[in-house]
Amino acid sequence: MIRILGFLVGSAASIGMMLLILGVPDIDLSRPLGDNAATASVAQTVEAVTADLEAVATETFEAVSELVDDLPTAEPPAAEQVASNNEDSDFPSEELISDISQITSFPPEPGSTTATASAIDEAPENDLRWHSFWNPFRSEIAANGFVGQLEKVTGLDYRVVKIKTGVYEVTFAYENDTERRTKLSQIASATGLDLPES
Amino acid sequence: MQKAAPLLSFFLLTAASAAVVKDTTDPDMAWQHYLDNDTQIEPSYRFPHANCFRVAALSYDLPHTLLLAVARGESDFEATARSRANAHGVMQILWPTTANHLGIKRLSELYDPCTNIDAGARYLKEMLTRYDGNLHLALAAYNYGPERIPANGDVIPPGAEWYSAYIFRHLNYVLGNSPGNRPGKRPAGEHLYSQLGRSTLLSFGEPYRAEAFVAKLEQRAPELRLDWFRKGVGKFAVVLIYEDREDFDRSADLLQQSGFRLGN
Repeated sequence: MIRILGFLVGSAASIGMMLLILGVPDIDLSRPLGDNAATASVAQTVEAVTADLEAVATETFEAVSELVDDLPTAEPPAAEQVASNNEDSDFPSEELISDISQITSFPPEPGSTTATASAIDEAPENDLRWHSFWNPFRSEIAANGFVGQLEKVTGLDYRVVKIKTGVYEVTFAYENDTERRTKLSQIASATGLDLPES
Repeated sequence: MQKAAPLLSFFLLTAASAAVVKDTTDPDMAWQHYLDNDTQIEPSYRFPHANCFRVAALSYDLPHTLLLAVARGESDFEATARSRANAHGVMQILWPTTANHLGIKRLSELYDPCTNIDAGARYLKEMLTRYDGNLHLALAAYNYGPERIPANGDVIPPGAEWYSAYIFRHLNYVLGNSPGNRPGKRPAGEHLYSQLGRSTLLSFGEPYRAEAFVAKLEQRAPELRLDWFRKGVGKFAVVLIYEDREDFDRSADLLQQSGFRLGN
């Protein structure tokens, strides 16, 4: 029973595929079966499709032949040559590729100071690094509140980094250790916080 | 007879404490004055867990000294404090109801000072928002629970009213306005609160008795540094505060001259 069912389903699928490829024949159901005009219409459609397929096959064969003829016969270039050739070619360099990856990691929405840790890791903005200078917060509200007040009293920019749910770090950007220490000192003097290394 | 004189004096002192008229300052107005004028004043000491207080104050946009006052009144900054009402830590967060409400799922978390201070600040901010910036009502609700303090503040339980005034007294200490917080040997701001010594003189069952006892002793010996703290339900401890051994000995002499002899 299952084999019969399978046969029927398979047949139906095959017919469906054929109809899909060849198109539904324009059959006028108002005419009685065995009408010669309807049979002729199906035959014309099959002929047209066959002709199209032959044309495509011929074109493809010609294009492939051309490509095979153009293949270099010499040894493939060394890896360094490939790298140097890339500089002159239209392909983007590694730097440009990394820029594209930055673009794909979207910046935080306006008004939101929250960014994800992965976004920051993937987005080294001109060698900027991020320094977390206080214990993680349990709530995003507290972290954002802290950042809001810090921005007000120090004039610096901060980010809240969500490490995971219930763990939010407040960070600021810096380029080098001198800048990091300067910013820590600024925060300490503006808030009265006793920060290490400030 | 010589030994009996100080005892008699002490008896008269404690008896008199019951007769002292309570401070009639309106706490509502006092808190409003503080919010309007004194929130930027730096604390008189460097109190324990100082960074946690500063960060919590910034996080919830609350006055730093307010949080210090609540913590001093609640636990005197003791991270492991626990009350019979099942309140825990520096800010005495009630377990499990208030703690769970604040996102704290484990009791042990309340013993981390920064977590506890953050939770207390968050709850206080919530109360302050609920009562439209009225700090007196917010504090009453912090202590008694918001369901017992009506939004219009019409009928506040006497205990909640008292609590607000109690915290205001600790605020005065934090700001350096309290008689028990006179300038010490070091310049202001460099004092470490945790380095101060404390010696409990005695405990009362009613806060006004402790308050009156302190007032009387201060009247007799203004140089003394005294304070009193709520130490659980129905227990109010009078405490002598001193800077070092020399200060302690001097205070002990002053106490004895005032009719109170320290035990060994």
